[in-house]
Amino acid sequence: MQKVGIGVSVPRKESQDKVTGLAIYNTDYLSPKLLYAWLVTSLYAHAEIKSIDTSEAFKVVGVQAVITGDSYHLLCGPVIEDHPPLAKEKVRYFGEPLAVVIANSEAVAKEAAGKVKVEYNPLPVVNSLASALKEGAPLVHENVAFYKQVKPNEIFSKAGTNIAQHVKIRKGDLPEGWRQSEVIVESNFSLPQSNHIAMEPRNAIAEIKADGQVIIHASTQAPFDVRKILCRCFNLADTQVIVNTPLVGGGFGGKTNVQLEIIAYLASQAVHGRAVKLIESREQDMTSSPGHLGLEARVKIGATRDGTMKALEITLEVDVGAYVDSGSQMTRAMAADCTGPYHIDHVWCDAYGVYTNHTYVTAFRGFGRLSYVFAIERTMDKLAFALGIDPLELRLKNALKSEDTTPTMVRLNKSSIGNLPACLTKIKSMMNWQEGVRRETGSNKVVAKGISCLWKTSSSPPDATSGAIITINEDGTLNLNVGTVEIGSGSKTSLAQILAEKLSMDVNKIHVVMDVNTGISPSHWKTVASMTNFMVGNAVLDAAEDLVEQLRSIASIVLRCPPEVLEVGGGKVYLKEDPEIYIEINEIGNGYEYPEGNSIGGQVIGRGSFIMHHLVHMDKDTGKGKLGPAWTVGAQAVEVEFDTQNYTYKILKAATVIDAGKVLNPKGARGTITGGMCMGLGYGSRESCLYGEGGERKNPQLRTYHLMRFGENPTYLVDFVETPLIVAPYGLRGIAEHGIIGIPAALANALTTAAQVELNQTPLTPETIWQAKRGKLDDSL
Amino acid sequence: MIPFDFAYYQPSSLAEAGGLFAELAAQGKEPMYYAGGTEIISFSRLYQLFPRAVIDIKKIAECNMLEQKNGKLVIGAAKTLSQIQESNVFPLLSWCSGRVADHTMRNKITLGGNICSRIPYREAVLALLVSDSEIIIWGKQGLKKVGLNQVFHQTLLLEPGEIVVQLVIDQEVTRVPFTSTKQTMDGLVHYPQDRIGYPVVSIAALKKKNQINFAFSGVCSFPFRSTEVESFLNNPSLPWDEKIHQVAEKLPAEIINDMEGSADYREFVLKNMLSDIVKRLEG
Amino acid sequence: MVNLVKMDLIELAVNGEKRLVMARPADTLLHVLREQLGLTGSKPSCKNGDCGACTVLIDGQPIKSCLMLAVEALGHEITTIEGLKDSPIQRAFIDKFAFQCGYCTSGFIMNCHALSVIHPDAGDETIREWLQSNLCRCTGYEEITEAIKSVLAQEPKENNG
Ligand SMILES: Cc1cc2nc3c(=O)[nH]c(=O)nc-3n(C[C@H](O)[C@H](O)[C@H](O)COP(=O)(O)OP(=O)(O)OC[C@H]3O[C@@H](n4cnc5c(N)ncnc54)[C@H](O)[C@@H]3O)c2cc1C
Ligand code: FES
Ligand code: FES
Repeated sequence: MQKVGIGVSVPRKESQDKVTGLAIYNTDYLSPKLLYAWLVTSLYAHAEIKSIDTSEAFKVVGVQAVITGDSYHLLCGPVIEDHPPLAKEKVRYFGEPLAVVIANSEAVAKEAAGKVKVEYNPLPVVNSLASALKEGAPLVHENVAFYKQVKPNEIFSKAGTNIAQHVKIRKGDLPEGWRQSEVIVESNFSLPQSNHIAMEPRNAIAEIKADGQVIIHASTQAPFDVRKILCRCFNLADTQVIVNTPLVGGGFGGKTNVQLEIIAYLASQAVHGRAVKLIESREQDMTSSPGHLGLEARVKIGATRDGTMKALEITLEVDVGAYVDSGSQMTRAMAADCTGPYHIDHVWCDAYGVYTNHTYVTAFRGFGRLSYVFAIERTMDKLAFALGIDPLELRLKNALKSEDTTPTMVRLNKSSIGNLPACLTKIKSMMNWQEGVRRETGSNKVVAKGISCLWKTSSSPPDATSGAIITINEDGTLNLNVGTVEIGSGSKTSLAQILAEKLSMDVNKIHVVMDVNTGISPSHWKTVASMTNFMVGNAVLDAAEDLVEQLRSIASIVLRCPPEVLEVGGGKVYLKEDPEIYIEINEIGNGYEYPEGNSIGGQVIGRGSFIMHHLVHMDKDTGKGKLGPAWTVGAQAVEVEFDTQNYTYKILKAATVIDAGKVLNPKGARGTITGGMCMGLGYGSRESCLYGEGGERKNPQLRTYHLMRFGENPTYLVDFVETPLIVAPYGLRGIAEHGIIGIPAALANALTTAAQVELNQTPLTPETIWQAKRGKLDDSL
Repeated sequence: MIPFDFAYYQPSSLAEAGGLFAELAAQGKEPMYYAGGTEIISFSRLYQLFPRAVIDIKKIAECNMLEQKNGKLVIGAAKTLSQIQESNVFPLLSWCSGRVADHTMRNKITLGGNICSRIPYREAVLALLVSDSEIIIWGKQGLKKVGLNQVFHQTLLLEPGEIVVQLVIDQEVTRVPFTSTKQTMDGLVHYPQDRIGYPVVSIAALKKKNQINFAFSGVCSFPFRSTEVESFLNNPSLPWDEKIHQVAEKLPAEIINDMEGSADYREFVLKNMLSDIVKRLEG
Repeated sequence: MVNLVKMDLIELAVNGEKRLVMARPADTLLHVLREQLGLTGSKPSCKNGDCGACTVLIDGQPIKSCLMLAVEALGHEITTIEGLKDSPIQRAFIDKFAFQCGYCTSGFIMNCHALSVIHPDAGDETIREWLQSNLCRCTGYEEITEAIKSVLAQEPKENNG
């Protein structure tokens, strides 16, 4: 049979639509019936709302309603309900939505929004982690203890402080670890918040029908979560809410958060259920909606003289901004993986999720990993330097392997951890590591290399589920319906490949349902955590088995044989011992008709599902537990050409070798990895949310918040190792997020080597390096 | 999405445009001349400008010419930066214009718009300052031609209703040695084009009869060419590195200190760049 | 003299057709193309000229339609992604995997298409200069580079780096 599904670079299913402009995203939903909403947002980072005067706004012709936070008694949030969808009584960050104007057109809504007058009474601003954690710091939330905890097993806030989350890892015996250590290194790190910048700004449409049915159209990675949270916030039944999601113009975690859907719902309510569309401007997307967390870290590592790591003490202070959202979950996830992919017996980690008057945060590609990995991997280089060991060799020596235990005391096996040493060995030759990590090339130029490792497990709820439904068309092609959203990762195409492989079919004969409708699509937790191919892939395989079972049973009657002797493949059900005896699946997929007219069977519907199993919440005092089924490991490297005179640099090469378990779609996988690397280079070199003295956002535009542009990207080197994950479809591991994780660290390691000064912060602009050289930064850290 | 209404006019002559301006101003419409419109649209969108009327000058013939005549180069104010760059009639101007925004934007941004812009950088102006260009302005008294250096002090000093019509450059100047560089806050400097973003420092320099003219953007909150800086830098009795070392003291205003670059850092970049430029022009 | 003092009907030449649209003078071309003509291939993203997702062609030149008024397009030929049919660059984008979420794709394709028509022999330097006008957050630009190069003449004239 011809090569069909796995290991082939199949172009994504929605390709034609995407190159002709016909692809429909949520922003493209147009209808004359729509009303438009515009947010009024806070000009202060921390202030009491003295009054909101909407009278002038109401006078603008075409305004239908203006709503403000004080009309609602509503607190939302996925982990702890600390978040009023529209600020009430006080604002907690610059850009926080505090009122909404609903009007006949966007222009009118926006014009009227400009006429809403808000009087503030400014409060002291918690503008940094340090000021948040200071004794007697002003509190961002006065009543943390009274908030409802949605996931009480997963959040440990400290009343009377700005500490929203405290996660502890206590593994082994730390003092013993220090005793065994002959060399100890320490460093402090500082990584500011950043933005997701999905090219499609966040937006949502809500409509409430007369019978109470709520119809949401959302650009989201989590339509089922939108439904769940709306139901919880507004006391609605599951069946009352339908969430539709077409193609999504990028997410990177930023569209896992449920915010605009809630506000659009309130807006629709205010206009008797009419459909209201709410699109954020880019500036609002960057300030009013959540970004990526900020981190301050202190790391201390001990090792023996031969380079065996013995002890790690790490403190992570996470800037979650004004509301917890999933900041507490990322704090937990970072703590759980806090060693990096290295074996250390004695580990002590305190991870704090801290409220500040910054924009709140939500999941971001890597779910926090890229930040703490920066701290660990920079410290690894410092350790290598102190020991006089090559940084790559130090990593090889300590790489986690089968039988080692993780910080949360999960014992690893070959399947669950994969093969980091193999990744390191490959990257070593790809990067021509033996030529040395620093070369002076003349005219003030230095070429330097930096390395970094990564690992990541998922952190889904222990009961996360996925489903899949397969039906057969008259022409023998299949329809695959799953609840994942197509956000650009190509998951719908990968899932078709998994199905094609399973049924030995041409992948072009498998249609995927692109859009998600929570009333029709089988449910899926969220399109996040690089878990789609694992979770939904398993559900697809389950559904395929169900389909095969049914096809064999009907075919056995038609072909007059027991089902056990039949096989399904190439669009046929055939006799194993004689494939010439067969029936096409389209003849039996929707009932089989005998020549004389009698019919048997009926529509064949393959249904499958998957639920996570054996995950265990982390223990409050020791961190013992299991967050995800397995890890993806990898090694990354960056080569820069640095100008020692003016501190500018070029990024020449960036490399990644990742243990993918099994590469489903080689060209697609490469693109996913290089895309992540490019984002990591942007984050490492230039991206950060800049806040002014009053906590106001200074760079909420792409004019001043710079992304990597065409041609600034380096040459990419990408390769894979394939150690199967036995519980996953065809052994594959998640790789969608990972390209970003170790890159900022590798960049910083390369630049540290080049500039010969410790660079322990992002973004690494020429100015940062220059400042570090002048010794300024060392004082402030 | 511009959240308010304005009226749009597209006159075909200077007189008509000026007449409209006066009329609309009298009606309290706060009219603005509209060229590329990139600044008017982007600022209006953010409630930072509120014109009730815009007067598009792109159809006025005088604003749209580009010709070389009697040893003079005449560039209409409504010419886009791309048109100027591609014509390459004045390479230094091509370089400086070619660093504003990005290629697609330069298909829309005009030379006049860049000169009259309210952002602090206005990089196309640098080439015009160092080349002692003349500017032709239409006003109540009709057309007048003045040296740009006389009327450009931090901003172009225009009376309400005046229109920048053309820039006139002595063709001799387009043939003398010149150079220019720009650095942005990002770390990457692969190619001369990798300069998307506002400048930390941008300098244009041109060497005429053993004298180097310098103009700067990104250093102070306005683009400038300063007699004091220039005569100091051209003082033959001091060595270059000493002069460059002291240049900060001669600047016409405080160095910008903002998120794109601190004042200290801008000074550092300024000095590095000056050394480079001097090496290129003197070396 | 074209004046538009309040919302009114104007005639635009879009993708080879004459179309009547209702526009306010302050309406951007992007807005009118999408909301009045349903040509949603041009995407809003920053509406500030920074990203290029809204790029269309005006008389064959790439222009960011978020910073152009609809009324300014009177008398000019507008081409949107919907007006491209089977162009080599569209095929190349598919073959080279030059997009992921696809939201930046229309803008990139329009810019690439104009480049390939205006400078069919463009070298690396020109390619960079043109394509830096567009942002893509998903890809690392590698595949987009391959796509544009595959439709340009094989032997570039300039050579830079
Ligand atoms: C994406 C982007 C990036 C940018 N990056 C840079 C950069 O790196 N460096 C830089 O210098 N600038 C940059 N800019 C700013 C840019 O220079 C201005 O937007 C542009 O100069 C305005 O030109 P315009 O023709 O569009 O002017 P318009 O918006 O039409 O007008 C701007 C102002 O000039 C007045 N005006 C225009 N023409 C005339 C005339 N002939 N006579 C009298 N008054 C006139 C107008 O009334 C208005 O006040 C950037 C802009 C964008 C959109
Ligand atoms: S939307 Fe026009 S450039 Fe970004
Ligand atoms: S493909 Fe998503 S932004 Fe380019």
